Amino acid sequence: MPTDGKVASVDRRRLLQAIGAASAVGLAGCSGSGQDEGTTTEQETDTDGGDGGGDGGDLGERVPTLTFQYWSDQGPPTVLFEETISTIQAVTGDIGISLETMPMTTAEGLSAVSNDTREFHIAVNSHGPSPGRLDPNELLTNYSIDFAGANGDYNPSNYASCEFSELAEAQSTVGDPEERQSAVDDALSVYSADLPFIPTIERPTTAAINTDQVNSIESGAAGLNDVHWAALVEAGVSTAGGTDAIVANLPTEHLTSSFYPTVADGDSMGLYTSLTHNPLLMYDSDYELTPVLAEDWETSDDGTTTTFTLRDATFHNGDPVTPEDVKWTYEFLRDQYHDGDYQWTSLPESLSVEVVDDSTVAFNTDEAAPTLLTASLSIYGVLPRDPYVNAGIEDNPTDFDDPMIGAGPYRMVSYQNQQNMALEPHDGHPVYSPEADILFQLYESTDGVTRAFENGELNVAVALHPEAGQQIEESMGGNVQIITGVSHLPFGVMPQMSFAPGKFIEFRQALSHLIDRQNINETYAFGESETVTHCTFHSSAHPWHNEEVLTEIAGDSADVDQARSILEDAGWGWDDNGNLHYPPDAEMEAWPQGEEPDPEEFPCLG
Amino acid sequence: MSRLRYFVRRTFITAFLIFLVASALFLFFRLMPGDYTALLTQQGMQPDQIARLEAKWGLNEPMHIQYVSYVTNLLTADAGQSFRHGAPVWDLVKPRIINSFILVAPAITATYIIGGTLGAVIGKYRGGLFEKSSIISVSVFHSIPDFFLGILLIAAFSETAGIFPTSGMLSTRTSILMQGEPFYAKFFLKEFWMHYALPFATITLYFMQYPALIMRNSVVEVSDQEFLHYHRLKGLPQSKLLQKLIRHASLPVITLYPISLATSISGLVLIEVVFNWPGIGRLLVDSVLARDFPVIQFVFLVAAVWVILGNFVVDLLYGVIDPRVSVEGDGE
Repeated sequence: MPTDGKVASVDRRRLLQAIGAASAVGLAGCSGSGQDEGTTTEQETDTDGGDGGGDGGDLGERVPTLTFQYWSDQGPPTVLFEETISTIQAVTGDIGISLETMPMTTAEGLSAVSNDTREFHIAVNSHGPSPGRLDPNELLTNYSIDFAGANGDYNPSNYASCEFSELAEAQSTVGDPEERQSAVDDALSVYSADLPFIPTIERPTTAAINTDQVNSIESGAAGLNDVHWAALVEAGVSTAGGTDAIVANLPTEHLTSSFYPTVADGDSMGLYTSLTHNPLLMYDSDYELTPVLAEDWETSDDGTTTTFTLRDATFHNGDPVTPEDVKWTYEFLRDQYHDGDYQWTSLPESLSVEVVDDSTVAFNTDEAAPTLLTASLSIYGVLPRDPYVNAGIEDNPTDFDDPMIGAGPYRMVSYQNQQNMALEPHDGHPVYSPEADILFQLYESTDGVTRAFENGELNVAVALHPEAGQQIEESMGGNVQIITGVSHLPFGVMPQMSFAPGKFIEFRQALSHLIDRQNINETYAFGESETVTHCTFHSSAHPWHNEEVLTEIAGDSADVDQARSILEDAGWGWDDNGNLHYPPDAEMEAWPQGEEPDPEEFPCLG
Repeated sequence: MSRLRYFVRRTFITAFLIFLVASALFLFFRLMPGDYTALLTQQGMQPDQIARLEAKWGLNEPMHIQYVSYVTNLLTADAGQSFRHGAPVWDLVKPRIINSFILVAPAITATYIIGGTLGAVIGKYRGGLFEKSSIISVSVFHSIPDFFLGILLIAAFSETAGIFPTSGMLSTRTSILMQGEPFYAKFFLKEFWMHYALPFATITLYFMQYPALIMRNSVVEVSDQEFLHYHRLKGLPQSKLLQKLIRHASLPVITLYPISLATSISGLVLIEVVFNWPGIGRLLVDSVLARDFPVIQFVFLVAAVWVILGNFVVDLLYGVIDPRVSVEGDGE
């Protein structure tokens, strides 16, 4: 029931407001979404005697033409962004608002949000599904109040809530996995009720395999995509019909001059972690942590020590994977992260790796480090110490001749920066036994990938638009396996909460009801994806997803009446021409433009 | 002014122009909204990490300091390091320039030879069905966007007829096998020419309009000039007359050729994308989307230098091509 979420939200806020009124410390400023207070006041005023509602009597300022910004450089997701805006545009007339679009490059859009420039009211884009976001900590941190306002930090909605921020921070230090799940649930519960992100549909992943040339594979929920190749290695993919190698495409961002993360980017690491540079444990094709170079692991009760038992494994140069290699890899990356150029995996500064015996290593930290397993050790692979030291990595971590040796199921035999890469099976892998060589070719255009696949130049195609998957299926009939999956983060809409109308909870709720999710699913994903009707930045396949704590925010289809009703109940109204107006005397800004949230309004900042 | 003084003066002007372009590129890219670090933020990089990268790349320095080091580095042939690829810009750009040149130079040359010949024929035998159909044909090919013309050719000759591959310079396997070979080794492979055919045809058909129509008009114009009547009255054979006609009529086309070559090397971005041709245009698209300023600046600079030098060479060769053209004061 869509209204359940709203009722739950109002109850919580009213409770906190009551506490705030009675409290000298002014907890009202921490009322989950401080931006909503102005409206709530007006709502009460209205109830007390105003007639602002639907009869055109006491109206506030007219809601201006709303600007919907979207990233214009994202390939297939850009199509989704445009279709999302189209579905909203189809019904905004019914609710008395007009809409304009503002395409921006991703860099421009991010910069505008980070600096709270208020050039647009709504951002229609997505959280990038980088591997580190398989743990919720990163996005919880991004949505925290410290990141809101014109400070250059990226808070996707400029969402400022003390209650949420405190819970988000609390979960980051809980060592016990079950307790942490509970802490994450608490934070996401508040987040979900406040609706800073309005999800639309799951981000589908589409891949195709030419079954005349490559034997079909089984895949988990993740499917097969350019940053998550676990399905391929789990299946031990092999060729068919006399084909000598698998030829697959890669988007252009993946082949940098080195896989090493002081040089490569976050997306590239998914490729290398899955195939060539396995870590101790990694996410499988169902987004579940699975042991790879480690046989098993155990975390102490206080969360400060995790002990791994290593399997018998070898690097691609034939050397065994030793505890000393593990220690060197992660302590070097720790130093690089805190003092040098390592960019992606946030290893704790206090991390030390202890060699316990010939097959055991212990990771120690001063405080519980819950993201160590889920967002760090599972993302970046173990390196052989000597070849890398000899290559000069310690002297110059960003400019060394990368020997490209790992302990993954595939060994790199050829690498041409920004062109192609050849891999062959590595016999010494303790878990996976792939059979065929893989050749990766960079493609600039997704249409080019489709054409090359249909023409037999590629026999595995990833990062396809769902429409391309359908097109390939129609043109190639029974000779193709289409693999669909779900990314760990969904698509959605980010109302900018630093100013009106995005600052008002009722507007965000109404906007959610204006989105025809089923229509988006049909037009973008040909019905292959799923609608998301609870507020969360996780997909249903995400390992931390828990629908029980989330607020339901809409149905599958647009519901204009429900949207109007929500706005009307909150004191919004329409003039004789049907134009939507704010409640009388509504505050238009959560904080002044160019500034950050005020500590007086948000005591947690004091 | 003597030819030597003219040459020296033009050389200085050319060098100054290149310096101006380099400076303008620096300024424009710094003034543009958004930067590479914003993309890193979206991927989840923390602010302190980004601050460290900005310090490493010198982006935290005042603009004038950045400018001085930019110019200094350029003078020492150091185009900097790509933010995105972590490699020296020159290492990224050099093979792409070669790949683009391999495609563009022969294609534009063929365009001018075929188009010029076609223009000469339709200019000589104007007024007939052949003239009309030729002009319509070259105009239609040029009115179709170049990338779409490429897609049409792929649909016809790759997907339907199955004759040519859809994309790339070589198949992935061959490309990997050829790693380490000199760049010209691929020219001896039939596979390369099969990959080459469609992008070559696309460029040739798309650009045919310029030389064909200019040559036609030039032939029409020169045909009525008095020197030809004089030669005709002298009783010069038809073949000699035609030779003189073509020689004079081809001057505007020859003038346009290096300029077309210069502009097209940077203007075929979409053709390279459609055919997945690993040229400079494709690198440019990637770098623009990623706000990889060092690469974009350098690619734009290379393109600008190419155009400026093209014009420089044309200016110098004018007098050689057409003796009627002289520099101011020449012969005083």
